[in-house]
Amino acid sequence: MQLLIVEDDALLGAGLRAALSKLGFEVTWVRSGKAALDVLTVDEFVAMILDIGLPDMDGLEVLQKLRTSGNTMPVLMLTARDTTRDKVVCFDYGADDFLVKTTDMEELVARLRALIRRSGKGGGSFSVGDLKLDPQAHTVTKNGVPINVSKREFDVLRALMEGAGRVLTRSQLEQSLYGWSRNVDSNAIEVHIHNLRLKIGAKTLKTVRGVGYTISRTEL
Amino acid sequence: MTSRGRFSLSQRLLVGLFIVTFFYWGVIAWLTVRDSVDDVYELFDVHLAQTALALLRVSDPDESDPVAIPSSSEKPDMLEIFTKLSRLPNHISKAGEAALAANGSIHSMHSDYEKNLRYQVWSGSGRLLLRSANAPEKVMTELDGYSETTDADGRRWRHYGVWDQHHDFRILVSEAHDLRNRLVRNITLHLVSPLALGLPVLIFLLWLSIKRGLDPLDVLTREIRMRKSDNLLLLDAASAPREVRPMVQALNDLLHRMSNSLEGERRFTANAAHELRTPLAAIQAQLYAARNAEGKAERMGAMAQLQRGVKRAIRLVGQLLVLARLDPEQALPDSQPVNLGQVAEDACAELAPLALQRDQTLELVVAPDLPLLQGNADMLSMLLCNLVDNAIRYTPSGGHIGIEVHLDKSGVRMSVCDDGPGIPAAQREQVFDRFYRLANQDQPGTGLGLAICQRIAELHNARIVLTEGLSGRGVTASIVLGCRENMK
Repeated sequence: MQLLIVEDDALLGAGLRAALSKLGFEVTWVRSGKAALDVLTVDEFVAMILDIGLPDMDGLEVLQKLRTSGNTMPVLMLTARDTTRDKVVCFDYGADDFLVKTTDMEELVARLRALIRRSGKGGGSFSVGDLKLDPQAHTVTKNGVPINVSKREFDVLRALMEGAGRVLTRSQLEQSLYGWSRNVDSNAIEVHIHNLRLKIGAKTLKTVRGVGYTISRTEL
Repeated sequence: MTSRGRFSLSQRLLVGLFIVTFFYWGVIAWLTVRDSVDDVYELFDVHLAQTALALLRVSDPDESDPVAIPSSSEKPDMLEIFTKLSRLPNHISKAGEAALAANGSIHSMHSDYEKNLRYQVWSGSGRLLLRSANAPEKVMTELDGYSETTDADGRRWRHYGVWDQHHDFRILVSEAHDLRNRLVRNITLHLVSPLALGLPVLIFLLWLSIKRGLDPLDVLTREIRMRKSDNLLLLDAASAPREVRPMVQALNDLLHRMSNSLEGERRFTANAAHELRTPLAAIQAQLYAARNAEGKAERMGAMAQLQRGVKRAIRLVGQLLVLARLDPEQALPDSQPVNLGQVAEDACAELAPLALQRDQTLELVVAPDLPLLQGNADMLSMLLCNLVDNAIRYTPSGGHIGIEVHLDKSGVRMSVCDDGPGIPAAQREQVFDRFYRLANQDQPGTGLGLAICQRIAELHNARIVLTEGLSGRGVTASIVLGCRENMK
């Protein structure tokens, strides 16, 4: 999978390239906005990690040019600014995700994988522990044994597995299922979770009372 | 305001005093001149009348003035007398002219006066018996007593007319008006010119005394000006004049606060330097260890330590930035209606995985139908995250952490409680100081987290209070945010 990194800092750029190459990405690393735009006209990438502060132009400008040219590739912004306003601006320009520069590598990789998966370019199934989920085939297996889940249950499980290691609140799950607008029956998510726990095991799918649900990556 | 600031205190005093003095003197001078004018007029009128009466006495010795000319039984031939008399002024004037020609000087007061005084003596039948050289041949006035006319040249004359007892003669004496005006002018000039000449002296003296009066201010100014920027010792308020003492005290108050804040900054910088260098030194040491490690296990151990050091440095930098952003002098930025329940849910979702890793039970209870509060959501989220993060990290594995958001009498109460080791009551205030950490901590921390929380609370006009935690153990951190605007 071809990955583009746009980062002017030598130490950080080299570190990202080394770490992501180890994980099987084919990394192209450029150090200016102009170089990034040049490379983007020639090659196709599954995703881009884009620094906001570049020497020749603002990272947001690169992003804007990319989006106006019709390119919808996943873009993960990397920045030292961390207020809500900064994040909102990034998303407004068409970023898919936003990370503050001191975030650790594990989270960066997890977010990057989730982005690629959602864009459909990474393809294939993904697994957390002994659970495996295939979005194309719409199947779930545990230890290779198929588990029969409804469409809604599949969507909930998919959201939880994509965010494995994180706690998803009920409203977040509702959003991933129904979108923003629809008013959902307040019990719907709880019913789906209850059914899923019966099917995949209560230890795998944990409840944090008053907060939400999680599938932990570490314990599986 | 600008015009107030443009002039110095002494300028303002000087101008004020000068205006008052000048006004006062002006009034006095005006009154004096007015009285002098009255006196001069009276004097001249008396003089006019006396001249007329003197002439009358000469012409009529019977007049009831026994002292001036003794009465005689024989009545003199008045016509003869007047004819003789009429030559006299010519003699006098000729002598005067000769004297003038001799020394070539300007008009003497004598001839001046002569020019301005004239007289006529009329007989009862209306014949002009006698007149001064400058008097016209026509009757000057028909009126008796005081009267005034203007002649063909435009000069004003004041007359005095009187009849003798037997109505045989009429004496008219008349005097030019400018004579008395000139005298009035002279008197005024004499009164006003010393004042005008004295003005600069007066201003100088006023300025001198103002300057002396303001001397204590100059002394104070010099004392402050000569100070070095780090000298924040208090000024001597007791020796300052009573009027400026409140100002000196206010200055002292400011100096005191500045010195406190400077001391705080110094301590903070010293602490920050120490706290920043320590993890970096640890990183360097672990890096060295990793490079020289023998075998994979040893290297991995050093690497894990290395990562811990880096995380600590990252955390510290982040918190220092937050603290710098929460400038104590700044007001709360971006205040908006905030749903505290939502803030709590997001904060707990973010930190719950950490609690799960430690086998802790984390529970959030949000009361339904909470009102929205005015505040900064980012900051409130940071506040709650810090409190929850502390609770998770200082509570042993298997412990409980409870977060509650509910409506209180005075607002929305948010509390985070745990059943960890707790904080001794004596230190529950100190832990909010920057870089303050409880002794014997094995948890990595910067000592800034709670300081940040309290600062955020202050920006929201609230305070974090620490009390006992769950079932008599641990600690509860709670904060009540007032809902000034119930935007529900």
